[in-house]
Amino acid sequence: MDYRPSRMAVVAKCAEAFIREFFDQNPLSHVGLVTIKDGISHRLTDIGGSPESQIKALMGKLECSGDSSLQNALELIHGYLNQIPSYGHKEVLILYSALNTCDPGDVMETVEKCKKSKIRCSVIGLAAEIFICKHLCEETGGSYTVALDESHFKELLLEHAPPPPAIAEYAAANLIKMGFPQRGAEDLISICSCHKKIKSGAEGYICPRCKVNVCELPTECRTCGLTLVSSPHLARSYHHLFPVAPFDEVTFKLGQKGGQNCYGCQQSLINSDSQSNLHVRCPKCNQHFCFDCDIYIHESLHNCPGCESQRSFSS
Amino acid sequence: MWFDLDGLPVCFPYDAIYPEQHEYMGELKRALDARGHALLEMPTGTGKTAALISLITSYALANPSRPLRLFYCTRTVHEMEKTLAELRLLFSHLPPADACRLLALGLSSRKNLCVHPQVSASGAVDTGCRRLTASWVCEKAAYDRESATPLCDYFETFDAAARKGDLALYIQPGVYTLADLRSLGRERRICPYFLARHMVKHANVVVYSYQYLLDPRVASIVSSEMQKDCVVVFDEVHNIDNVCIEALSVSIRKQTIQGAKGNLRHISQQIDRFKATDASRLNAEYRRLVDGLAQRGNLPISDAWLANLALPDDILKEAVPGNIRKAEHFLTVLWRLVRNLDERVDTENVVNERPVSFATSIYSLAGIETTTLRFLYDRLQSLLLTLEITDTDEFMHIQKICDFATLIGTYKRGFSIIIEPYDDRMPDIRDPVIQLSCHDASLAIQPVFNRFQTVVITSGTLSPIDLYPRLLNFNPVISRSFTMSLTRDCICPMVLTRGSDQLPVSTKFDMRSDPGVVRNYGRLLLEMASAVPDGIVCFFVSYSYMDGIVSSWNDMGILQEIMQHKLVFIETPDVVETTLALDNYRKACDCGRGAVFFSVARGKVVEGIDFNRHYGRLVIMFGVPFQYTLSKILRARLEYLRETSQIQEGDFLTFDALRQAAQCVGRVIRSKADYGMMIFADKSRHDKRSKLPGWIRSHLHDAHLNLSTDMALHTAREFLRRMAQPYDKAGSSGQTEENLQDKARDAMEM
Repeated sequence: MDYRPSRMAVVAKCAEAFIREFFDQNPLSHVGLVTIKDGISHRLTDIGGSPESQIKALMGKLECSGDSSLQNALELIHGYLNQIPSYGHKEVLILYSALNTCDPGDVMETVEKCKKSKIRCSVIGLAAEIFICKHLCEETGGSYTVALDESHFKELLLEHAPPPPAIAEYAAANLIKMGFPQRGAEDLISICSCHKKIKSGAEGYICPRCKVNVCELPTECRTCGLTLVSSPHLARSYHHLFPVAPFDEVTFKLGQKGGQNCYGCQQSLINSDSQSNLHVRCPKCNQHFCFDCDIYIHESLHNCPGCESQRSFSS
Repeated sequence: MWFDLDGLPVCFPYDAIYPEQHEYMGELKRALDARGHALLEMPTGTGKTAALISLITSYALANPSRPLRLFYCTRTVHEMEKTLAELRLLFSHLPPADACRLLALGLSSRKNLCVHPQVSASGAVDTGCRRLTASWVCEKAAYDRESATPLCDYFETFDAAARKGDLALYIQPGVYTLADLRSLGRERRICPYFLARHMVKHANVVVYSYQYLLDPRVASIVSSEMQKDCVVVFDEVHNIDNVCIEALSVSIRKQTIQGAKGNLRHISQQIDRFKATDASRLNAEYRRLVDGLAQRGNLPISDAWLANLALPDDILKEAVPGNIRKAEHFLTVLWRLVRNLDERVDTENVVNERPVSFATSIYSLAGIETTTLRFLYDRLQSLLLTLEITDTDEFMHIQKICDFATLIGTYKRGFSIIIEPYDDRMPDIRDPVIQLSCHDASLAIQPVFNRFQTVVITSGTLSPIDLYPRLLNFNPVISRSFTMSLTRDCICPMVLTRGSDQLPVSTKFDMRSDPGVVRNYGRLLLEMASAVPDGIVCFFVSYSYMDGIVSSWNDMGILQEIMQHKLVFIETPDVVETTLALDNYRKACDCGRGAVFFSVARGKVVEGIDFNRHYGRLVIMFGVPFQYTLSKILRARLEYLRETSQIQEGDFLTFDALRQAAQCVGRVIRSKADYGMMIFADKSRHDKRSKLPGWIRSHLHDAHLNLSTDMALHTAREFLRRMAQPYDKAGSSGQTEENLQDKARDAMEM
């Protein structure tokens, strides 16, 4: 066989890593698992926010047999994702090992249906390119890749962890309730709601609404159902959705006035050797930046200082 | 874009050009400069058509002394439309001053062009059209207005315009596909078929089926309009020799003779009727025949009477022999001939004769001289016209017999007459047949070569390229095979010689029915079906072999296992059934179920149906598709080739088989973005590698020459993974205008 020890083991291992990475990158997102085998699809877990419970459910159900049916799976997923409110992104990632699909009806109609409900479907194939998968991904705006080997498979899978940039038409504004729990006090001993174990307050967080103890964030409160997050989570999710536009490379014309210094760090942009006065400019606010700041803004800060300060002026 | 090719400014309708297109144009230009013929092989999907037409057009524009006259012969109507679309794109890139002078049009049969509401809807368009447009029908209508003879309005408009000589008003310069011609015809109420036929004289580019040039019977309507300086292009003509041979071969069965007898009775009734009512018409015909065949040029265009391209000139100048000038005499000659053939066909043993001895025996038994035989076909046409017969389909049988007689009378060499009482493969069923088979492909195409300055023969599979000039007996100034430049290794040919148990596999006659071989082939397909997504096409050497092996697979349970992975579809000799199977095959590939198509290497599917993209990720060629070597006709042809062209039997058979195999596997790759695998499953294949076309050979690695099933499976898996990776579609293989200019400058500096 091509993957060792077996395709199943490799997929399970990578899927576990993916679920962890996914929640790390998208703390606010939820995941549900669906298995495809024997011509039907089966819901393994409900859509939820806890990585541990998802992984546990997955590891308990590692089996494969029979034909696969892409249509059945998509129909099932469509049923679940359709209930998601409009501000959420609906994405399907299919890890597909089979080379065909045995469907009860016309799979093209189901593809159309997914497209209409704006469900973005992506497929990672394990063996070869299949036309229907390619068609599905093209229609719904997802990506279709085929793994060469185990490491490539993992790489492709993890590429799906950061979310795609928000598209204006998808992102309808809506208010949702969220709790920002605080770490409990040292001396407080309570039973955590997730593991039913006695813990000191410093190990967990207290839900601001019902005061129950939870072990990790982000999660949903077991008692009152409030979404519990921390502010860094929120910020991290946010920047993926609205990334800073890449800066344009520009060179100075001699004698040009103003903008001689980097807007970020105030260093002079004109080097002593006049050869390399290449630098970048934000296309929105037209502020100039040096390369160091460019990297810092795009990889760590995720906000453009120029645009942000302009916004504060105008407001 | 415009670029400079050895001093010739070339207009190319795309932004980038592949290096092989550039080379192709270079060779073509040299052929045009030398005013000679060219034989060029370039794989499909490399933009052969675009390269051809843009060079020839640019050449004509740069050399005002040699105006653009291009006859582009394609194989199917679909290819014709594609070529015209390519031309339209090219014309839109030409300078407006040049483009507005050029006229390009497609020409096809009445069936494809008729716009008459009733006639086009009926099945027999040809007959329906003749009934409304034949000259005597028009005359009758003009003479006798009250009788309300039905006429075709579209043809009447054409006729009126033709008389006035202002047909050019109806058709502006530009590119006209068949659909354009039809809509033009509807709009201006003029017959598109006759308009197109008339405009062939004035058009700069004419695109049509190559039957029009090669088959002397399919109305060689353009022959008289073509000048010496025309460029003639035959596209996709890898089996041009077979087309030429078929054009000059006739087979007469018992039914043909029965039908001919019926025709003769009908004709004699007609003659009697005419004698009673309109004897002057018969007399006029007699006088015309005394003057000789060459004097017939002034007949109206609608009667489709034009010179026969394949007949030597001296016949046309000779007067028709006296004994067949009178209609009744002619009829008795025909009766004698038909009765004689009727006797000859009732034979118990196989007869193989040369035309000369056959003609002598006709002379001694039926008393018809060879010279008389030669005129029968034309004489019959003349008689049918005189008798105002429009339904030519009905008189097909007697026409066939006259055709047979004319060929015997005309050619002394290159033919043989084979009379077989039954088919070799089915000895129990008596089916006597007289076959006049042509062995010399050059006979039909020679007039084309002699007549035109530059004939370009091009196709994706012409290897080995040195054999074609010998088969067709011509001398190309350029003959070259081009390879495809690819951004990635997108074709993967493999030669499989052993099954999974390491025993050799082959379809050679002694191994064919060996259950081990059958099982190994089955395992091969099964393994591949589990590893290859979407469509797989399998080619077998013959229908009987396919039937045999599929039923054995069924007995062994292999077929059921294959069905778990993919659906199975089979080609049959029935066209409707096969079309249905193909449709469902495509559907199964589209919806992801996956499918296998079983086809025959010399069947219908192989010519003209593409299995590109996911419709054919893999093609498996089971065995080598040799012709049926026990066939009498093939034996006779091989003998002829050995005697006259010094082509060894084995050489020709191998060439023919590999040409067919290459054609089969070439079905999967139709463009550069596509990818596909080809497996040749036969142990005797690897020593024939050199005869495959260059574009396949260059991708055939040494490591893939002698594989067993498991090795092939491994290679296939790896290949499919590699091909599924994203790649740079724009591709660095194309060269833009700047690149070419840089190159030219570099060359100058060196």
